[in-house]
Amino acid sequence: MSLHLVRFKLVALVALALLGANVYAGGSKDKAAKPAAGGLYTVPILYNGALATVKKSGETVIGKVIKDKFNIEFEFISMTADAQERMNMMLAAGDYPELLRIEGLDIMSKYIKAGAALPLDDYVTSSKYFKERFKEQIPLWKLTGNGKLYNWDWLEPQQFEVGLDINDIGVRTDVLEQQGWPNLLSEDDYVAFLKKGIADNPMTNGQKTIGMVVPLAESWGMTGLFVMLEKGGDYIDTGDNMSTCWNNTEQRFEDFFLNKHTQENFRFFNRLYREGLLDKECFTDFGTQVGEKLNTGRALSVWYTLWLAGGANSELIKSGNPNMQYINMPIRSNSQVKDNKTRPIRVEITRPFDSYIITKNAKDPKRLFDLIDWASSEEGQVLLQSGVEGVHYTIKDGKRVPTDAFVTGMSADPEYAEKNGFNIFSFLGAAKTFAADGQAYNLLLDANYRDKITLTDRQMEAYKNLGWKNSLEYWLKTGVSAPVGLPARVVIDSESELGRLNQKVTQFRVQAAAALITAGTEAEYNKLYAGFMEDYKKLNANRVIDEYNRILGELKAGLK
Amino acid sequence: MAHQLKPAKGRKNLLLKLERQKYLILLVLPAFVLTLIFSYVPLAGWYIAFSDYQLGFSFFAGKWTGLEQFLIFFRETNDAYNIIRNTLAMNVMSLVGGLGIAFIFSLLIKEVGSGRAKKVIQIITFFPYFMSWVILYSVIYSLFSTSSGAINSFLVDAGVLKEGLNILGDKKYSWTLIVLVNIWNTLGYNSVIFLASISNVPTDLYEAASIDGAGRLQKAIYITIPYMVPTLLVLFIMNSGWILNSGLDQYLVFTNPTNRPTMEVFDMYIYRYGIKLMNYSYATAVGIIKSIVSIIILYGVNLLSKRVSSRSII
Amino acid sequence: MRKVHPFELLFDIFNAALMIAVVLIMAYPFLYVFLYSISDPSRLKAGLMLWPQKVTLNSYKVIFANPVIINGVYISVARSVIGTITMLMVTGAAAYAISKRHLIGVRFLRVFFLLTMYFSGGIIPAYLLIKSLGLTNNFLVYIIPSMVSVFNMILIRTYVESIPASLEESALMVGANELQIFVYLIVPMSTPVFAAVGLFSFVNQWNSFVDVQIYNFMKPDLYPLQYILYNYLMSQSQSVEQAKRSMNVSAISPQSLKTTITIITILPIFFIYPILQKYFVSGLMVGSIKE
Repeated sequence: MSLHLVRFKLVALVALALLGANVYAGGSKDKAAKPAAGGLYTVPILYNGALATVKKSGETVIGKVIKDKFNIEFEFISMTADAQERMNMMLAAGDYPELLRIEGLDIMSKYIKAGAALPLDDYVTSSKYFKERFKEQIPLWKLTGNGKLYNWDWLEPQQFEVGLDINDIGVRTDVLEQQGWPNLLSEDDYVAFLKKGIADNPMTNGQKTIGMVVPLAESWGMTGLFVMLEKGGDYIDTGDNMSTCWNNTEQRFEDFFLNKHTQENFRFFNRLYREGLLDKECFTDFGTQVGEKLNTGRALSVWYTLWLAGGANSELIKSGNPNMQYINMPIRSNSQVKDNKTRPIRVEITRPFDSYIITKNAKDPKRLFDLIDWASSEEGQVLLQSGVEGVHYTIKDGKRVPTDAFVTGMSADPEYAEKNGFNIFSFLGAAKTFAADGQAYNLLLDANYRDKITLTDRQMEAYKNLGWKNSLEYWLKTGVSAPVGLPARVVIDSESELGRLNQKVTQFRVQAAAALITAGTEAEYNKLYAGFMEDYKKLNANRVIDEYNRILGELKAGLK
Repeated sequence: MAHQLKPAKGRKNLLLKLERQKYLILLVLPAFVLTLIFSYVPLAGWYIAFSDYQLGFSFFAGKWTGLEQFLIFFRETNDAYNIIRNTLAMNVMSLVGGLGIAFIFSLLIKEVGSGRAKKVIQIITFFPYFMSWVILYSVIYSLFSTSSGAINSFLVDAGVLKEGLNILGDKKYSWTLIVLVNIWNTLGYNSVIFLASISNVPTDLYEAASIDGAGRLQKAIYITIPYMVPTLLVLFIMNSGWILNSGLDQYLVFTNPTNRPTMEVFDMYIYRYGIKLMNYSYATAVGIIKSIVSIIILYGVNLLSKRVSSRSII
Repeated sequence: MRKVHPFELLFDIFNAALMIAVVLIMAYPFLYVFLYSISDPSRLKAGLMLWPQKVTLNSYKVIFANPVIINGVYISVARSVIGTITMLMVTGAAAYAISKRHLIGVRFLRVFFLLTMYFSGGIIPAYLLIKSLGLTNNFLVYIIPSMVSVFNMILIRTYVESIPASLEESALMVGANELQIFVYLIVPMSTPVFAAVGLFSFVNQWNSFVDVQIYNFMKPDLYPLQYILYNYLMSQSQSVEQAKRSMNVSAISPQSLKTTITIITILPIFFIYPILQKYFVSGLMVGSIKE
């Protein structure tokens, strides 16, 4: 190659390097113009999935009230990619919208470190309602921000009695009826029930009946399997679904895999498998496939993914099989039934996977925060969660009573909620507590209206026949509030060596579960079990557990 | 004296050449500039494999860590062994099977008498290329699921099997399943390319051969196939460089807890341990390793092709 | 007239049977998907489906009721057509140029192009580059980065190399330059490969939505049809929280929506393929130059 060609290439290389450096050395972009004081302020909001009808918040009934009052409108932009990847990408490029939902403490810290999130302390000190509403949350939130406040969470604060979100087992009501409405609880209860259920109903709508289905192919599927430990006793899960669980009684992190209820969990599923009650395809089923099996009533029960059963119920009504609808029923391991302890129900003091920040791209952060402040007030929350007086509810004897339009709309019309502005303002916060008048802010969660609106006739009938006063009676009776604050704020840096070990240990648990559950005989199970115990010891998972506890201690000290 | 003369003459020669080839250069210039910008400039991003990249900061702001990320990868090799084995097995079998079957299939299409039938076949074999993996999974599920899949039910009812085969879940079927699905998927696509090369054959060659008394089989072997071989080789060599790549969409649906040991592929590993953990430095480092190995394989296969058939794509 | 050999007859029958089998295997999944899209979700059974379960066009109705769809079709058609044509021009020209062994730096260029298929800077560097070029929230992001396709370049180059040099030499002798040779000689003679490559490109453009997701998601006016349809649902929930929330969004079962999307997506092939079909026949090689 001639000298000149070589020189030419060198020049090209240098030019390339300069171009690259220019592109990647990172420059800040100009902030968009601030809207005129009092002028219409349109804020884009990224929304996971898609809203069927609403593009701008001002189109909705609730949104209009906000627009008239504050002259702020929100534009909904749908986002289909994985939320986490999108958040990472936006941070890397500096392309984040003004108001952003952050999922997870690790991403939150990255946003804070990069200066993408605006510190809100000044606004909070001068706020009227925000600091009162979130007084329990603020110190915890500040822990992530090194003493400064950057975020608020959705569905905070919470009270135990309001909106119990329980996902135990969905059971087909006609089979319950066949067997005389037994109040199923223990593992043995379910095994007996399912066995008889299949014997009595070998076919459903021309297909073989299945005992229990569960979508284990989903990325969260296997971790959703291990929830037996929260059904009673000392334990609740921490929410991050990694290698630790939380011992609420002793207030410390413990090993998830070695936990005795997790072991019972394995055994229970293996038992279901060996008895032919567990759907053999559960490992290859996604939510879609499980949904199909529930829609046709083929499955007698479904583990944990109760929301799929909810969808199935509407399909069953449509197809003329209303008696096959599913209801949520409790389960406990045999030892949990024997010990008969209370069930600690996690009440989240903070929700790190549903946080919102105001980013440095915000055109007028003060105006935004004023709206958020007002939203935290009594008036704001009633508007956001109950709607407009006269339209969605009326006041009788000082209590809010939902209008007929509201009741029929919420229960029958899938677009009613959106068109009226319910559930689309999660970024303004939603307190899952009682309002000043003693009722829940969200009438759908209020004990008097909850069942009437959200349950179908068949479901209510089923609970009545079981002797329940309402659809949550069992859990309200056995449950105790287990507030989780600090433990949810513990996070191990995913890039560190311990972070990788955490991943490995979690993966081990998943793989072991798959093998143990499908063991053909009791003997095979025990052999596999012994082998896994051996291998697990080699992993040294306790290093991760200890680290969690250590960080917890640090956070506690930081709180003081 | 001679040295002084050479550079001057060289420069003059060069300029003359450039002048003579200016149209050719014009033809290649747009592609050159675009490739430079869109493929080579982003390579600056490789810097983060050697540094402690923090999201939200400039690429070059991270602390230099050198080969640390690479070393981490090699330390994890005992886990990575399975993954690489799976990737190579499935990709090599898919490649060889896919190209081979498409090759033969194209020859067979050519032998179909009716022109209309040929068109219909071509259109329909192209369909799989359009299907998204998520939807395809539902179709495969409806056919192969253990208890309710059509194929399994049929075989059980016919008494051939006692119980449905767990094709989607059992790890011993992973490779067969993936390879067959890949062949199904790429048949139409590869055939179109082969058919383009077949249509390059001058028709009078066939006529001349007929006059010489050649039958259909002989025509295929001595005329058609030689025209297809260059394309086959080129496709093979290019694909060999991708032997470590797998479509993430595909494996996200097919990988599940029970078949993970044989189904997990390299790209899934990078996704799970790199991108999902926001460990971009690690993901990039492993990506670099993958690129280097891919290019080595590419050159190797190309060299082999040069030796055996004196055809090279470089 | 040559006598038809019995083996040939046997072969033809076997071939025909094979073709029918292949067509069935290729077509069945689409038949399934189509039937699913017009069936009532509550009546769907598992297993082989050969006819629809209680026909309902509900999914199609819900989708086409959305006025945004028309705009989406414009964008899809625009990007598919413009993207394909520009790609053929740029990539085809380069393919021809690098097929000439006497081109300055041709070996360098070949490697330069080839290697790009095997490395990548990563998603974040790519994003930052696109952003700094001003291509985010811009229609051109669908066109410019994909104007060069090295895979197709190599296919075209391989094809072009088999065109006899004598043809070009004759053209050069009458005073044509390489640009004119490319446009008036090479392209007409390479219609099969251009048609094949054009088809791939059209299909890719029609189906892409990942680039929209990453670069243009903030601008609904630029959404192509595929993206709008995928917007109706999240294909797989990445976390339990997302799973719980996605189930209540649409009035139709997500599965039937997905299959409806597939059907709408493959419709263009029925229009494009017949157009390109005629180019798959041999080019103007009839009566080639006698050596």
